[in-house]
Amino acid sequence: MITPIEIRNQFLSLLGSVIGQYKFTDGRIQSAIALLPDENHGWDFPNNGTVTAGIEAVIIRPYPGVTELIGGRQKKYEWAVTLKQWDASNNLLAATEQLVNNLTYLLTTPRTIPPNAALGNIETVKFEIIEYVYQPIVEV
Amino acid sequence: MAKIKIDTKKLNSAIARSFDKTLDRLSESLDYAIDADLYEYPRTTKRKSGEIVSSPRNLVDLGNLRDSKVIARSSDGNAAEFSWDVPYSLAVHEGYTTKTGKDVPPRRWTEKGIEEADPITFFTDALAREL
Repeated sequence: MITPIEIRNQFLSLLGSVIGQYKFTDGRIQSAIALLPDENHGWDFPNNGTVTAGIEAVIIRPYPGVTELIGGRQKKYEWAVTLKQWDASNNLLAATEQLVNNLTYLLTTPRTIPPNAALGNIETVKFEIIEYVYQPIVEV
Repeated sequence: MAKIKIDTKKLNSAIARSFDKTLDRLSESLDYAIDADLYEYPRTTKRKSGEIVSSPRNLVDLGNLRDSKVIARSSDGNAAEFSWDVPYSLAVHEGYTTKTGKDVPPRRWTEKGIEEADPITFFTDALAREL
């Protein structure tokens, strides 16, 4: 099964120097990847007041979807990925290309939400990482 | 051996009428999915229209999104595509993040409209009535 650590390492490895930074309220700096809920801070990550610069990757850890099969069940996990570009003079093209070319998982088609003056939004790209796990049911 | 004669002209005509009815049904359902208070929202906001809205809410401010719906038919009439021709339609559908860091959740009116219309069942029922 895919683990949060494995996903974080793939994103860090593939995005390398282009991944942005969190600057927390206590002055610490960390790569801008949030796997939510965070193991230590739950959904409150990054905490209020954190300044994010550059590209941020927010990945939501999934609950399983279930399809019952004979002798077992198929579980489907959809990790929802959102890339955010906090630098208005830059974009997410290269980062998206890099992830789509090299992530070793099943992916859905990325949806690009461009900045829009009326909404006041930043550029984001959304896609899902899909994993199917067969869970045999053993009667005892 | 018994022979079955199929009147393809009549059959195609029944299919076309059923498809038209299904598109009408789906179109109404998609409008309803924009008009109805179906969407959870994390805060109270003031719309351009001046309306103060909380949660759940609909997707109608000035009505531009709802009114931008385009139904494109294929040249043979056997396929159709719905789209909403305003620059922010995808952002509303998929959710977005504001420059100030507020996350706006996805509001997928197409899923709710399709679920409500159930077009496959509607089409097969309509076709059965036509034949």
